[in-house]
Amino acid sequence: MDALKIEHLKKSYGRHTALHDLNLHLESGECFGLIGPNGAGKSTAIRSVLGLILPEAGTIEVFGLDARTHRKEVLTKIGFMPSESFFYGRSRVKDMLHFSAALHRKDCSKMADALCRRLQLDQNARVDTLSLGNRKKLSIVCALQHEPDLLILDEPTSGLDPLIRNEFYSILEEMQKQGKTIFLSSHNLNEVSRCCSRAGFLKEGRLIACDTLDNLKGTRSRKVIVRGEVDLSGLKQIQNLQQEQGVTSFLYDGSPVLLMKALANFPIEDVLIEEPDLEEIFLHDYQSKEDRT
Amino acid sequence: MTVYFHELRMTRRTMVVWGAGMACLNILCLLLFPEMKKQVADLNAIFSSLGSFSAALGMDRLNIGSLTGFFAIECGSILSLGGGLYAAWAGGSIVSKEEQGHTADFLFSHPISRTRILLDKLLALMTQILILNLIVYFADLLGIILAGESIPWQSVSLIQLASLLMQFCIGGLCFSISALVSSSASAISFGLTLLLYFLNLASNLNTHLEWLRWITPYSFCEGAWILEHGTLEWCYVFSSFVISACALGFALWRYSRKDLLL
Repeated sequence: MDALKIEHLKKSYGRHTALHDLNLHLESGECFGLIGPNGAGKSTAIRSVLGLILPEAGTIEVFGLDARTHRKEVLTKIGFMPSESFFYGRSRVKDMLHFSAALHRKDCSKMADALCRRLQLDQNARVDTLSLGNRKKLSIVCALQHEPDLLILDEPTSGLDPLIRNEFYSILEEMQKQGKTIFLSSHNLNEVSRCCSRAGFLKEGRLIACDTLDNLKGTRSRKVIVRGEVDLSGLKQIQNLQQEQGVTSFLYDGSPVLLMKALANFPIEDVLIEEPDLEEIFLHDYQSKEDRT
Repeated sequence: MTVYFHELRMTRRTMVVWGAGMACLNILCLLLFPEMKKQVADLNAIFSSLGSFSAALGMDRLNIGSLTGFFAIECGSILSLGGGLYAAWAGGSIVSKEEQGHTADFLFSHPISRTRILLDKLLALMTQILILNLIVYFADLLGIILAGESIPWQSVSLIQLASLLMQFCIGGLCFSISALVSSSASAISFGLTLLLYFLNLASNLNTHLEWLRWITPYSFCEGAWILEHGTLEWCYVFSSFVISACALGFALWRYSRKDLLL
C-alpha cells in the first residue's frame, strides 16, 4: 500500500500557482526526499497533506485514507516537523511535549524521555529561552514521540549542530528499520543523499524529476572553475560556459580524465571542481532535459 | 478538552492581573462612597447640570447619594469598559494568535478538528470572562462591606449579571473577528467594542437612534433601567446574543475552510 499518494494536486495563491498538477507516490517504508529551492512548492505540498491549506484540485491519500475526509485518522498516523519551529512562549519543554501527546491521546513519556536524552534537550527549559537549534530538537521530539507511521519533515536539520544532526540521522535510520515511512523536504542535496533512497525535484510547483537517488546522482554534473586562458572547444558535455576576466566556469558531466587532459594543454593558474548547487542542477541539467523533450 | 485547559493556562496571568485591576478600582470607588454621600446635594446638582451627558450615561435617573445609584454609575462604568475591553482583547486574540505567533502549524497538524479547537477556545474564553467577573463581584461585595454599608444583593447581582452577559456577547463577536481576520484582529476588536459603547450613548441621546439598542450589548447594561425595573431588558439581551451567535456560526464555518497562513 502507498503510504502517501498525491494525484493532480493544484494550489494557487491569488495569481501565483504554487503547485501545478503534482503527482507523487511514496511506498510504505521508504524514505523519500523532495528537493527544491525556496518557493518551489515543497511546503505547500506538505501543508496540503496535513490539511493546513486546501488545494483547489487533486486528491491526497495517506495509507489509503482520503486526507480531506479522514483528516483526523490521517493525522494520527503522521508526525510532522515544520521548517520553522514555534511554540507557546511561557511554557516549558515538558509542557509542550505533554500538550502534543495529549492531543494525540497517547502516553508518550517514555519515548519523549529517550528522544530528549539522545538529542540533549532539557525538558525543564522554558520554550522562550530556547535557541533555534533547541527549538528544532523540541520539534523533532514532538514529531516522533507518538511513533507515527509517516514522518513528514520540512527542512529538518537546519539549525542543528553536526553532532545532533548525526544523532537525528541515526534516529531516522532506526525508524526506517521499524518500517516507518519518511517524507523529507529539503533544499540541501547532501541531507537528502544521506537519508533517502528516492527523491523528486520540485521547481516552480512542478515535479521536474523523480527517481532513485542513484539514477539522479548519475546525471549530476560537476561545476568547474578555471583561472587562466583556456580553449575548451575540443571538450564535449559542457554546459553553461561562461568566461569573464580570465575566469572560465562551466558545468561538465563527461569523463574527468578527458577534462584533465584538456586543461593540461593550457597555462592555468588554478582549477576548482565542485558539486554544483541545487539551483544549477535545476536550471542547467533538468531544465535542459525538459527542453529537449 | 486539551486545548481548553491549555488556553486557560496560557491566559491565566493576564486574566488575574486584569481582574485584580478592576477589583481594586471598584473597591477604591466604593471606599469613597461614605465621603461622597455627605456631599450628595452638591453632586446631584452637578450631575443634573451636565445635561445630555448625564442623560447619555443614565445619571439623570439615578440618585448618586444612594449606594445602588453610586454603584450603578461608578462601578457600572468600570465593569462596562474594563470588562468589555478585556473581552475584546481575549476574544480578539484567542484564534488569530496561532497564525500571528506561527504556532498554527504545530497546533493544527495534530489529530483534532479545527471546529473542536475553536469550540475549546470559545469555551475557554467564556470561562475566563466568568472568572474575571467572579473576581470583580466578590471585590464589589468586599468594597461595600468595607464602606460600612449593607449589601443590596439584588441590585449588585443584576448589574454584575448584565455586565457578564454583555462581555459574553462582545467576547463572541471579537472571537469571530479573530477567526476571520488573521492580522489586526485585536485592534479591530478594541475598535468595535468602543464603537458599541458609543452607539449606546448615542441611542440614549437621540430618540431617532433608539433602534441601535437592538445592536449594542451595552444597551442592557444600564444601571438606571436595571435599578428602576429590578430586572434586565431581556429583549436586548436576546438580540445581542442572536447577533453574536450568528457571527460565531459564520466564523466557525469560514475558519474550517480557510488556508492557515505560515
